[in-house]
Amino acid sequence: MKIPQKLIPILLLCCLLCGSASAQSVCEYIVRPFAYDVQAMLEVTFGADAGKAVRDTTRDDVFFQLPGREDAAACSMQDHSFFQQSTGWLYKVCPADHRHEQGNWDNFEPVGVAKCALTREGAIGKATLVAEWLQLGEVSLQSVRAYGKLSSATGDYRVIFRQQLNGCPVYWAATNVNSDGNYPETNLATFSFCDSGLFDADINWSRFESSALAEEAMTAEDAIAKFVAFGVAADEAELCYLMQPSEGGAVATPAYRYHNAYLHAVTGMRLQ
Amino acid sequence: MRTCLAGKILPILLALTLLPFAGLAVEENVVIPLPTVAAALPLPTADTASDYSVNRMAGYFASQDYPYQRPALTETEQARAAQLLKDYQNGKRPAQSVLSLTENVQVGVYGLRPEDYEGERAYVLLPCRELTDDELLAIIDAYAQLGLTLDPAGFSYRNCMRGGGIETTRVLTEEESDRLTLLHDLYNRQGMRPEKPYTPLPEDDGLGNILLDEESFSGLPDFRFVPYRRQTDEELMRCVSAQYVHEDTPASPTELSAYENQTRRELMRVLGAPLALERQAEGIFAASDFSIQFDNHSVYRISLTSYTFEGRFQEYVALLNVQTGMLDMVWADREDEALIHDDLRGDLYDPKWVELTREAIEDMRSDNVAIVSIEPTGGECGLANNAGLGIMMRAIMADGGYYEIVIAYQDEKPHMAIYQCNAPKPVDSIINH
Repeated sequence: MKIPQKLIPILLLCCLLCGSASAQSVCEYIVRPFAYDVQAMLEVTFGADAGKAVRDTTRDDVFFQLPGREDAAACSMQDHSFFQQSTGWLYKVCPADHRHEQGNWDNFEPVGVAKCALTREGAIGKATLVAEWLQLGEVSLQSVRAYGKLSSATGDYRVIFRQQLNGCPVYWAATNVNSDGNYPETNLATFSFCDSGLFDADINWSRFESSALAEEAMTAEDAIAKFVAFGVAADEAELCYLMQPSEGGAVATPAYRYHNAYLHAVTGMRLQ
Repeated sequence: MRTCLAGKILPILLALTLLPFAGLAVEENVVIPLPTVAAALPLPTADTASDYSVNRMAGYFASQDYPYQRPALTETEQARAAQLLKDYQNGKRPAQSVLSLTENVQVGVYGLRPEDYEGERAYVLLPCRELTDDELLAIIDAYAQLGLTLDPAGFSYRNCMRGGGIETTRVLTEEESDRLTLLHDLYNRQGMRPEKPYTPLPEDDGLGNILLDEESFSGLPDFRFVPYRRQTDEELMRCVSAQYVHEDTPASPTELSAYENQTRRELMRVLGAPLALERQAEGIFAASDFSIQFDNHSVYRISLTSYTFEGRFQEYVALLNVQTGMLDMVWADREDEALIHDDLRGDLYDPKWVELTREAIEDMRSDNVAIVSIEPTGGECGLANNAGLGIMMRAIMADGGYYEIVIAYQDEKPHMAIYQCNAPKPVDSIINH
């Protein structure tokens, strides 16, 4: 169908207006520790032997191992005692000749390619599947790190996802600190893969319950202007959620971020 | 007649002669008490509330639960010591003496002048393990040699250190530390020396330093005697001189000035350091003391602080190779009080970190040396005061120089830097060499 010429400028103007408005509905959420699907964790950790895994009830965490195989795979899940997040980790058995040294900086591959058949994209695909299996919800790719530079080390990739909420990253406010001066871990899910597959995972995660009516967030341009008015030399602003402590727990507040400064995405009030 | 008189007198004489021996014979099996110094002596009253009193250390030991680091004998040792006191009185003696040992000490007893130590007359160093019977006997014997009787329950932080729990009889006060720093400078830069030499034993002047068997004291290499009173400037100067006792060729004031001058110029050249930096401390050391990357060649170590230069590194610790005049290594950091904890992370492969590193180095260097390569190290480092993390980038220069720079995630500025005149070798190659 041919668009009448007289309408084109009007249509273009409408597109421009819609593009610059970019209104997004946001609301506040109550933050809780993530509730792991234990069966899914067992299946990821032990594979076909998931049904044989036994919980060690002498530990504070929810810890599973195969009986008589303390040197083999294991997984753990635990709510943090203070912050509204839970940790989960697992490790699996690798071939005896594997030597994974992600903690050794000399083993880091600075160009991002590990010496293994697995590719960066392949590792991302596998990590995405595992995250879905564990029902972690929304994630964004934080980074993919390659290892194996040392001749004695085995090539591998570490895929790091950051937790998201409604397509926006979540950040812990600096006010989340306990009496020992400790802060919560960043809500990241890390999965390490080599040619033999997944060999370890480390997760710090939360879940969110909607607690208020949705409101319209200001535009990024407006947020930048407000940052400048606060004396923050911002030239960009990221829509996100800032998790702040509240009575009995924490709330995720819709916010705009520039560096480590945050303001309320609806009211423009300075949050940090 | 003579015979009768002799016959009558002789028994009397014999009796008189034998009487003393009879007394001694009676006393042979009587316990002879060990010598004990009278408790009351005309000593000046110790001001146990002063800053220099050992009573300030009470809080330090209040929560010490580990028995082999508490300044006391264990219960079993006390019980054995009580029996061994009797054995000592009956003539049993230890295989070796532990009185006034100065090197490789596992157990040591030291005489003190009571006017130096708030009335204490002996100090005991005990290892991080159960004492043997012979060691307990040696302590009893050492006390006896000092004219004292051991009280097995009488040890405390006032007269005992055990297992490396602390490295000194008391910690210096702030004003003593300040004077020590000044005196260090006079010693190093003015060539001033104490009137009397430093001696390892405290029995002469209240000062002392004992070299320990490190395994017996949880790795502690030596123990220092600091009197429970204010130390004079002369005494502190003796302490300063003690640090240089084992140096064969300490640097002269002229050499130290030259080293400082060269270091400042190198810091300005490679890190853009300001000229107005205050010297905090300096000395000559073996390079291997600071990094496994180095052999034991001599380096001049200096720490410098900027109080006024904002936006750049404020703290510098530099190692200058005294042979080459080049900086073996520099640590520089910036503490920005405006930073608070952040929850930010970055992609180590994001090209913006390379560009930020390039800008930082070009801003710091004043000699137009080209950058050969910049890449991520693979590490994230924590910032001062738990302010969050930063990415560590490495850069290699055309003159062989090497940087590791930490750029904070929250403000994308350099907060820490390490510079070396040569790139370090991989740790594996050093360990497996």
